[in-house]
Amino acid sequence: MNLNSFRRFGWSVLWLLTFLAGIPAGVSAQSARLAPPLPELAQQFPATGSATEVFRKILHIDVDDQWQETTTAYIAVRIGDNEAARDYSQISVFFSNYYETLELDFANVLTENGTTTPLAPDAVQTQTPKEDSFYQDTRQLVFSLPSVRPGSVLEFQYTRRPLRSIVQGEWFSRLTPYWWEDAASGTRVDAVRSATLQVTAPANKTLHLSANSKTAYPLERTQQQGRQTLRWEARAVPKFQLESNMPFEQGTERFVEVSTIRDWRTINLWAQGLIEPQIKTDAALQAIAQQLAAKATTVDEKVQAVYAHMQNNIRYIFAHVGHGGYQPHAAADVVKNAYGDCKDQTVMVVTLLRAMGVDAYPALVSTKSNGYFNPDVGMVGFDHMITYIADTRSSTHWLDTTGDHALFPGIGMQTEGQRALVINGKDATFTTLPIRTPAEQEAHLDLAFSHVGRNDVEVQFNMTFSGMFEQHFRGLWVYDPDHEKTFEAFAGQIFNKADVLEISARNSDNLWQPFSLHGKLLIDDAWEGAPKNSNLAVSVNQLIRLFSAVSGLEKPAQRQTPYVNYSGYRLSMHATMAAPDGQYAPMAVTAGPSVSNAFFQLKQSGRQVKNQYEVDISIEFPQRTITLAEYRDFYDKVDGLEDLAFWNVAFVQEKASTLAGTATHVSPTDAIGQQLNITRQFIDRGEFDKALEAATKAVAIAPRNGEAHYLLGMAQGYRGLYKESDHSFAEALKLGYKL
Amino acid sequence: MSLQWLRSFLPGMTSLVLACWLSGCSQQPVKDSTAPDSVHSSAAQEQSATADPLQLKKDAEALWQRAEQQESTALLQDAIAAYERLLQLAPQDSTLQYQLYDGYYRLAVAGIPNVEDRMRALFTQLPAPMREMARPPSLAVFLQAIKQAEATQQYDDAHLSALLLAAIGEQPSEPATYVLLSDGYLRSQHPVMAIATAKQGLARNPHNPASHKYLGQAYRAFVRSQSCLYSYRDEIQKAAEALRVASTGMPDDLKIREQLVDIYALMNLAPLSVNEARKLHTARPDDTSTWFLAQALTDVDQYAQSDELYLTLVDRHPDIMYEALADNAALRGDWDSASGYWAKHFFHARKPDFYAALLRSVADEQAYGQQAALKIFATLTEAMDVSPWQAQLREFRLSRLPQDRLIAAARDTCERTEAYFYAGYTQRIQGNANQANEYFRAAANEKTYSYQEYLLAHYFLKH
Repeated sequence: MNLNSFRRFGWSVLWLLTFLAGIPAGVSAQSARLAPPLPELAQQFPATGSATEVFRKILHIDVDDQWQETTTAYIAVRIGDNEAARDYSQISVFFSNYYETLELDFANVLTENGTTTPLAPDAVQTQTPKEDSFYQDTRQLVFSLPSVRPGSVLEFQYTRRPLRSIVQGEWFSRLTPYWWEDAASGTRVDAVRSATLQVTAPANKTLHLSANSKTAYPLERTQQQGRQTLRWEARAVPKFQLESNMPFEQGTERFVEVSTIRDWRTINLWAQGLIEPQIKTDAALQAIAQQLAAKATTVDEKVQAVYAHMQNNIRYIFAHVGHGGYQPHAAADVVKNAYGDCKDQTVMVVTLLRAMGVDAYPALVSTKSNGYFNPDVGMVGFDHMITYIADTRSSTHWLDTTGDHALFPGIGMQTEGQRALVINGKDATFTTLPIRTPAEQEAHLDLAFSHVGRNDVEVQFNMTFSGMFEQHFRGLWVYDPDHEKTFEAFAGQIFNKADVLEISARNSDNLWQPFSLHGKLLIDDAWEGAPKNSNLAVSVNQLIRLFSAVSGLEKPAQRQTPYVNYSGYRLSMHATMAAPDGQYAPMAVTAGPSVSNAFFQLKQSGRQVKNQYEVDISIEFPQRTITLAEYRDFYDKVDGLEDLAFWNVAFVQEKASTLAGTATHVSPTDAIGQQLNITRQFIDRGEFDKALEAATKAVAIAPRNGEAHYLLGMAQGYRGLYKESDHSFAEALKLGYKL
Repeated sequence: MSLQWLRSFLPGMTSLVLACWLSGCSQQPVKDSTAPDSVHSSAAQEQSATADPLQLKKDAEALWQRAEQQESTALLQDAIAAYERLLQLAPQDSTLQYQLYDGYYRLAVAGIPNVEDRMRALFTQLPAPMREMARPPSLAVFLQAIKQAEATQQYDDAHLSALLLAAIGEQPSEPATYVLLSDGYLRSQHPVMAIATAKQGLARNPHNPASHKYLGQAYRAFVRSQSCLYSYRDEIQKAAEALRVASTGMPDDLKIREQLVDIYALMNLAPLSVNEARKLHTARPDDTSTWFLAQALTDVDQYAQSDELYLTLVDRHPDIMYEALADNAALRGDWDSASGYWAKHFFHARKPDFYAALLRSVADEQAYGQQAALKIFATLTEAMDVSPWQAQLREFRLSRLPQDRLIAAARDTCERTEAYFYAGYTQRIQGNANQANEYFRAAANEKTYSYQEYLLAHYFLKH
């Protein structure tokens, strides 16, 4: 889970809390102060250490008879260090300007010398967040506090007032004692010493609570004069640490969920009421459907045809507008606009599929980015819509057309494994999207080494992808305006010392073939040239560095939550290393070992193929949750990958020349020299039978040559023919050969 | 085992460079040290399918190190078991293969049963460059066999030599094989094969003192096996050079000193010979070193000291010592003593030598006159099986062959030394002093330094 998802969910919950407030738009009245004056409060909660903490939070939600809420939140923070001082110097509060207004009631800083300084009037403004680039109704109130230093105490209070409801006559909310603060390193969620979470609502409806809402903090429930009050008092809530791959549900037991909606059919019906009227054909849609159906006979072909049509004709835009993000445009409007957000696209897809006789429905999804989605009580907290194909003849049941020329069927890593509510007006339960197997989530690296020039090594690389890797790299290529530079830097990580000579992509627009990357690297001065050995290397750590996040794991002592691999995945490599020339033969000086443990399976093998060497490496991380108790072992195992032997393939010049070849190219004038040379080489290699044969020939060629007799004597001696050997040596000496 | 040799596959800092290619030379995180003190149990219990290669490697290295420190075969077997499991995880790793092979080799040398097959199988799997660096499996079998042979004193030379030749066939680059084979050829009195084999070893490791030692010994054995060693002055020189190098590398090897005493004597480097003989005698004061020192002292005219040492050995080696004492006495003109020692020599000698009889005839003649001397000489040599040259010498000494024919019959420097000396001696007996000196000078000019005739020629030139 990324850090933003928590923050985003935090504020999305907050704005959902507020949409039923009874104060009309444009009318504002400052809320009463919820806490005692700051100096007094600070004395009530004296510092207990040097850590930064939210020492008091008060949240009052007042739900009116229309089931719209007004929320006033008071937060007091004691700053522990310079990092916190920097983080809390500027505070942002997010809200939806479709559903609510937001007003800062006050903000003050109490310095260590006891002076209270209020927020300067010009230090507050409302902005549109930069990260959401297209239409949106999210805003942020930003204010900068003065004199925030270690030891300072700051407070602020704001009030959200409703403009309209999401689900008319219903109310739901998620409450948290935490304060989510933007920080230089992401988002910080400091410990909370004391928090009061209070909801006051009409008593004419039951307020349903999620399971943890009953156990997280002491709950006081009262009823008076037709209104019910729920009050949680939270004490000493520990710091919430955001970690990579932490469980979505981690820490949710510290949240409380309240809703007037008992089951999800209510939400289903509500959504159906918003969406179904937009699924209507007109002449233009009928024409498109007919045109597509003309070329598609099977259901699968129809589904693919609709997918292709959407990708080629309807541009995706990110939009969080239209009934606060839940009401789509009519399918006919989407055709006219030739663009649409996820719900618009889904409406058009469902319309076309139904027009072609394929049973399909919209489905609301909470993506991984949206954070944890508690199914205990009904509430609206989805952030994506896709198409569910109920038709049993279809081999594809989930379709997402929002990717820009994404590989069919477009279901990405953010969606798979998530809960979806199929909007059919009936379902009261969620359907879980399937998760791909590790074999379907693969990044494969193909490397082909060749020696070029005097000292350089060229490496051709091909990267092929499936699943989340395909989606990630295709997306990066399509959306990053500077993608060539980005991918050049990426490819440069294959070998740190390499220059990227070429890089290109294939299938970035192809809906049916996976995206792949190709290029060429040059490693200067990789070897000293012939006749020196050349060493080439590959390692599983290249795969890890390129494609996996496990290289940046938190140290075991720091880790506080289990580690979840939501999708298993596989990384693989095939390397072909060619010899500098025919004189060289390869040898794996060291080879990467295979490793099998509970956390991953690493398989490595290598082989000599003629005078080249081939290496195959694959590592598979299964889908699983690694408990905190297992984490140290997991960390050590992953960290140990760095220390594993890598493939160090040495190309060594073969020492022995081809004797047969030498013998067949003998110059007649140098026949004895060649023959003696052959004999010496056979003796040097311990091939004494051949040496004896060669020496006998040498003596036959030159019977007066002392060395010939000497070598014959050696060969005879090594064959155990001592008498003959002595004779040959004597002959050699007689002919003047010097021992 | 040191794996320094691996550097030969990694030119310069290539391994580091490769690691940098792969990892970017990033600083590795500090890890907890949890390696147990005793690694044997964890290593043995792990199943290779789920084994942790890092832990296995750590275990294997620790066991290996302990095995080396404690010289324990049992620990080595444990280390090998760990390496076998490690190799299962990375079967193509040549370094592991080499390490494991080295373990098998050591076990085979130690005589552990059931290792030879695994050792030979793994040897054939080693990549060629690694195989060229590995000690051959047959060498391990040889070393085990020679150990058993030494224990039982039963040497099957053909089998031992076949093992070494097989070892050369398996891995022709291992210098130790050639050293051992050269030693074998020396023992079986094939000095030229010993020279050739030692040279093969030296070509593979020019700095190996053992190869120099065996080459020097082989050259010495070769020249000593020749009827006229001074026909091979180059080989004497080569023996000296090889032994000098060997002596520098193996200063405590007394066998080399023995050889040097003799070689320096042959080369007329008497002071060096005495020096080596003294060192030898100090280090190992036994009969051989005493005899060597006595001989060396003769070469520097220290006859009294030399005699003293010979006399300490005379009870145990009377024939040799009396001959040596006779030579010493002749060289200082004590002909009565010389004659007496020769008589004792012939009393003790099992198989009297022709040259001993010839030299005795000179001493007897100087002491008692020609008639008696030649009568004894004729009697002593009558039944001797002599060479054609010796036959001619005998005929000349008994005045049955003219001087010119004897000189003309000499084929090499040694025979010429003898011919000139006895011609000169005959002239001296006949009173032709000038003529005699001319022949003595000719004998001296042959520079056959270790020949008694050469030394006596010098004596008669002076007296």
